[in-house]
Amino acid sequence: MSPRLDPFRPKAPTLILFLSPTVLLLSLFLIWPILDSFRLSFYDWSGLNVEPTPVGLGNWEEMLKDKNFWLGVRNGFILLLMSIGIQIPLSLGLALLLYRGGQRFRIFKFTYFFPFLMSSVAVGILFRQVFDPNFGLINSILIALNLDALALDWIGDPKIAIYSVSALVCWQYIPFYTLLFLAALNGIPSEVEEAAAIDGAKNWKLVKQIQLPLIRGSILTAMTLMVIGSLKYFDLMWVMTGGGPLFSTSTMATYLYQVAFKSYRVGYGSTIASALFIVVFTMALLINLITRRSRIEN
Amino acid sequence: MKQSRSFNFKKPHLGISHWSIGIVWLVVATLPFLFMIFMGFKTPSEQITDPIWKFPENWQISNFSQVLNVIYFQSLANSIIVVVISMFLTVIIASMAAFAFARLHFKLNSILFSLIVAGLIVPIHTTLLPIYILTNRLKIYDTLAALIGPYVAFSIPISIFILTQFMREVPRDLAEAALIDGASTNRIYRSIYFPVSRNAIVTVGIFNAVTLWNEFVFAYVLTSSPGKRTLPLAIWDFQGQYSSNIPALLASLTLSAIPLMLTYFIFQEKLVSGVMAGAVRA
Repeated sequence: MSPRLDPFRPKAPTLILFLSPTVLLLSLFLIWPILDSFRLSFYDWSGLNVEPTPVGLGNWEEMLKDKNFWLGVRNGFILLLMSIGIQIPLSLGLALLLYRGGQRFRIFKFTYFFPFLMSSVAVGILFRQVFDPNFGLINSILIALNLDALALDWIGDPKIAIYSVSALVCWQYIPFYTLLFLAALNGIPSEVEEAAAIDGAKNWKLVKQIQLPLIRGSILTAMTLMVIGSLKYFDLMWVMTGGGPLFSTSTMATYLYQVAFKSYRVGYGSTIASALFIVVFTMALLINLITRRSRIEN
Repeated sequence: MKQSRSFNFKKPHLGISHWSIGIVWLVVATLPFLFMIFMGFKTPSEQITDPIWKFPENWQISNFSQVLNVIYFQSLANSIIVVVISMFLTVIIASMAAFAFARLHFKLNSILFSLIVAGLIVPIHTTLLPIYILTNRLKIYDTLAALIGPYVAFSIPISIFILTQFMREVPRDLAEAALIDGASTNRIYRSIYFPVSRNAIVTVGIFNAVTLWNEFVFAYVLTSSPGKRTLPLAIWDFQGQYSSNIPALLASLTLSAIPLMLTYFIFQEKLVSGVMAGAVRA
């Protein structure tokens, strides 16, 4: 066959037909907005109807000294640490439980997924009521159990609000990671487990020596998703507390929204948007390097 | 489902502890939903004065009927329109690109593919302001059309990623008969690769549909009037309106959750595998 007619080595017009919709959309809604955010970060601009004024590195200098920005960065890392510390062990435990139960635990598998199907808006509004200090579900239970001292103002107290909301993020995502790990466990070839069982491995020994090592890839994937997801997190923090009280639950993304859409500081908002991009991209590269090495070592 | 082969490790013993842990998490995962449904039947004064587990004196159906108004159905329709159009466009556009990346030889293939995979990490909030400004300039602010562009664009990277991996596994000899017939590149995509990838395409479609159905931030920023809101934003608007009537607010949450819950009850396995697709393939 002559190469001219080979449909797998197409001429330019065919290639353009297949790729141009993707390239156009991604340029317009992904690449150009990122570049434009960086460009706007060098301007002072208070809204669509006025002209932007160039301010050089002014916004960036302001941001580096802005306590509220750093609170957002800190809260992103609190959410990340809580996600890894709570979601990984709990999801793994639940996945192992569902795996062991098989068909007998079908009803658990079915209901455990519920929290993940609700929109963040609905979860946030619902849990404002669940966390309510006077009429809420949690404090009603605590008081009924005579644990009045533990009945705190979960999202109203700036000292603990970030932990309450982060715990809620965990509640919403644990179903996702549980089923992710369960899928990985189901993917272990039964011959491997059979051989281990014949060697006398059961229960914890089977978990530790066979199951956990074999789903290591999925655990790394989960951690990667948590790193990226936590640092850019927005939804529940915004719906439940608007980043408050006193910026105690603000993240980079909620602070960016506040600055740009509430205080109408488009230029400064773009600076935070660009910083968010830099932080998330750097962390993603870092974790990619780390997990790649540990995948190769495996 | 793998079937047991009468080895006891395939059906291990379940003790009290296994069942208890299972039930504890069942309570943690579902109690807030029971609270939501139950409270939706109370009156505002019962919600404040009675203990939460006390049954309402009269079950207030009116909380629900009050929410089931024109705005609810308009938002439901908006969500369906936006999600269906976005999902349809994403599947077409992404499967064409995936076919090119999986099978066509061209210079920039691997560079372009890596760039698109890198797009998976982009925080949408970085793009929010420029897209908001663009939407205003294009005079499509506060229309459903404003949502479709960003929705498709942000669904494309993960969709291309999954579909390319799938199409790379499609045996090459499938195309051979077509090659002898002298089929064009277009033909091979339309009559072989697209139909053969049907399962992967359905999976990608479900993944995007669930993600977009619950999407918050673009809908929050790019629309504002009640008639143009999607379902999540309708309840967001609702909470301002019903801040003094918590039972009605909770009834609105229940009603907003029903469409996806119903879908889950009917297509459980399919929906779960769709939602997992992004992570399992990564």
